[in-house]
Amino acid sequence: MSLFNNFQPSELTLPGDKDSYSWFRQDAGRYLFQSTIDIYKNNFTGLLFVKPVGDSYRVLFITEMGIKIFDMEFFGDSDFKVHYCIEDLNRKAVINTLGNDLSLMLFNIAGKGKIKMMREKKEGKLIIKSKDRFGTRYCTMNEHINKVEELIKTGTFSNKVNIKFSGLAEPDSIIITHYNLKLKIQLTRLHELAAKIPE
Amino acid sequence: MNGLTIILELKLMNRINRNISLIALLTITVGMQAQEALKPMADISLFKTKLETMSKSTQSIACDFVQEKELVVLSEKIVSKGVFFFKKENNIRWEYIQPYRYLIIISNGQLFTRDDKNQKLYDIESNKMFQEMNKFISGCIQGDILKNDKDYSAEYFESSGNYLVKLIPREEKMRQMLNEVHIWFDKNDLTVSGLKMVESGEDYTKITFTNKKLNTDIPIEKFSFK
Repeated sequence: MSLFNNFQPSELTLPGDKDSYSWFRQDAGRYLFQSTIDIYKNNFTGLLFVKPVGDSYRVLFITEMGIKIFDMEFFGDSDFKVHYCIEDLNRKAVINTLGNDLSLMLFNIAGKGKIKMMREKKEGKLIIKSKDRFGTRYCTMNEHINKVEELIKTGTFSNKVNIKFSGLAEPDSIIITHYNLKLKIQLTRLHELAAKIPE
Repeated sequence: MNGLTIILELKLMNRINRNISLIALLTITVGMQAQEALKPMADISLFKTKLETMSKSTQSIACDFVQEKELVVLSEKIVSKGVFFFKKENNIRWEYIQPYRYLIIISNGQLFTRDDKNQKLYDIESNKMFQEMNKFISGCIQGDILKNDKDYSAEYFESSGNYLVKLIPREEKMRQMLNEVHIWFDKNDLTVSGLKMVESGEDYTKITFTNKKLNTDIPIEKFSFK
């Protein structure tokens, strides 16, 4: 893997449950993001709503004015279910790309198969390598907060995807880019407290 | 994964997304109150006459709004707030302030949108959907929204303080996104006090208009694209 030829295997073992590295805590109420999607010269915006429900996550995309575009549920192991999608968007290629991207964003480390830990030589950053049937994921860790700061997924039959996370303990900003497709999803966390109580 | 297919699909999605915003926009100028006992409207033609009189005498409207998006299955609500301005002939400013900023302006045959990162300008004449919407909006303000029985069937109700009109889109495709639009009019001044867009399934969006000021002097700069 040319992206990571600068690492050495690490003897570390994964401390704790792999899901504890996710930015989306199962015990959290909800997450709301202002979202921008760029595809070639097109751009559209809306709100992305994420709610943990048991072991899964419900993710809805809604326009600023309240119209629901899609409603999906995400389980571990890259599985997801479409609860609702506006008819014209309900095409396999679009749904699969969006679903796979959002699944990666929620579940960073693949569920089954071997997990390898390594250290990048240059900066000494911890990288967790995991695999599932869709490809290989490399998660560069921020060890101060035990969260993934960058995720790269490669696969034979799927697009190469990069996800950058930033925030202190909560996900303030997430950027999803594709290497061989001009598709970019930018999420900025919304802080709702001020608007929660209508006057 | 076929990249080209995705691009084509997303181009389509972009168009749809724009159309969806339009559908939502259609209903901006109309607007709901707490549940009150409803009965069929006693005198529909009187209501229509009053509405027409009101629209003729209205040069401008300025108000605040609260939008509540109810996700019924998830027992969640997303609340956003903002301000709304209308000035004759056909200038509209619809601005979300909390918890996100998003601005829509319609003026001089163009539609402008802006958020923190992007701004976009559309020519209303270039798009049939925009034309329809524009006709619809000015129809609302001029009071003949309820004459459009080609696209919507209407049901009329009233409570002690409000008139309620339920619009049901005739077109199947439209109904998949928007089952019904409910518009509440204040009985005193016939201004729109609320709006409810019911989606297929149980989810809905409710917009309540408050602090309404009629015929104040709104500077035209409020409707410039910046």
